[in-house]
Amino acid sequence: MEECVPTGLRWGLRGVELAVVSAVLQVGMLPMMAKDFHRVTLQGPVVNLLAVPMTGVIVPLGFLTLASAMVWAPVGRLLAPPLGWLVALQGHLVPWFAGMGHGSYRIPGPPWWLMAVFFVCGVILAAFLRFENTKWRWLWWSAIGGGLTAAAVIAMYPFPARVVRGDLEVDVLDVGQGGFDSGDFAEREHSAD
Amino acid sequence: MGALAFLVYWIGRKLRLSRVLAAVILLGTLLAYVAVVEQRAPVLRAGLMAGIVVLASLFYRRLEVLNSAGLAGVILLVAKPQKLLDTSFQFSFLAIGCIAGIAVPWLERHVQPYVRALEGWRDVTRDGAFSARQVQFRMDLRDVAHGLGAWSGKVASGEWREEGRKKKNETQRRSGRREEKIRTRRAKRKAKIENRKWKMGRAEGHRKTRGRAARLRRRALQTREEDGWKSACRRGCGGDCGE
Repeated sequence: MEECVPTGLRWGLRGVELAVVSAVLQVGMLPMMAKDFHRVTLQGPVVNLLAVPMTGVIVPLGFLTLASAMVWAPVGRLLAPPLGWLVALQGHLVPWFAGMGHGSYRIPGPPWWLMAVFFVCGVILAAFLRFENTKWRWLWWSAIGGGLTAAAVIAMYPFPARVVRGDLEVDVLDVGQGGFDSGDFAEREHSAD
Repeated sequence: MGALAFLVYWIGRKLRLSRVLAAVILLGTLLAYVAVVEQRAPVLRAGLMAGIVVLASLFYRRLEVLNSAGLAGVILLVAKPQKLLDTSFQFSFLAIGCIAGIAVPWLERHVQPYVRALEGWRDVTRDGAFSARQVQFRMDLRDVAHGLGAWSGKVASGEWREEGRKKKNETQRRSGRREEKIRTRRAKRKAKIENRKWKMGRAEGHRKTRGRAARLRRRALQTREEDGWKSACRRGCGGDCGE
């Protein structure tokens, strides 16, 4: 029973690590997501909390299944069904979250100066974390404040619309893992991947 | 890519291969993997980073993730400068920058000390190797764990239930004593009231008796008067005074 406390703490701290990495990625990728995909996905960190540990199981299990199937096929056949269930579960999990209302919304691309402010704040933050200096603590807080403000402005986009109502807007993007085409006419959006 | 690299290296070490041989096999596997899958920026970046780290380990050098990512970026850009405008390249390096530049150092400072402090948490002699904050954490952890352990031990052995029963009995005994006291007090009060009532009743009885005697006397006098008999009073008035 005594071991339950440190074991629980260890798992809890792993969860905190995953949540921090996921949140940092969510905020850090926000300008690029807004610029290239015109999307802000609020449910991203929550999905990551479930999908990343699952990937951590799926990938090694996949390699193990492949290797064992090459050595002795029956073992591979034994390992394949659970691997398939996990992949199917992950495949259902992500679209389920994606279908949640207000979890993801469309946003215009941010102005270049706002992105510059965001990335400068990010670089200052990274530098401060690496070379801690108590004399420059104000810089740390300024970078955090500036970065978060820039992220909030990017996510809310309080600027006037650049697209004329009634005009057709077409976005075509190749991200290396499948194409993304988006046609936007007035307030109706049509996407094809 | 990282999982594959780790798996191959781990298997190599478990098979008691030398470090150099395990690294060479790993590099070969990485090359084969990159050659088989589509050569996109994230795959090339991950493959180069893993290769750089493995090569550095051969020279007993431990490369930081940011340095290996930077070196991979330089190699990719030298080979194909227009990759800089590729969204895939930008996303891949931005992600690794966020993780290695901000998330990992922050975790190293705020979370990892506690993870490390959990190692051998029972061993008090190891406390000296930790910082004051970690030692405090270990002490608190030991307190909580021992408390929980003692409680669970009592639950398992039934001692906890026995203790509960004893406590209940003690409470009952105490409450019984208290009730006894209350009962005695009530009885005393009741007795006092009864006593007072009895006294009052006696007084009332006396009064009643006196009243009855007076009534009887009056009635007797009335009867005498009705009979026309007048007794002689002590004064000798012949009964006119009414006495």
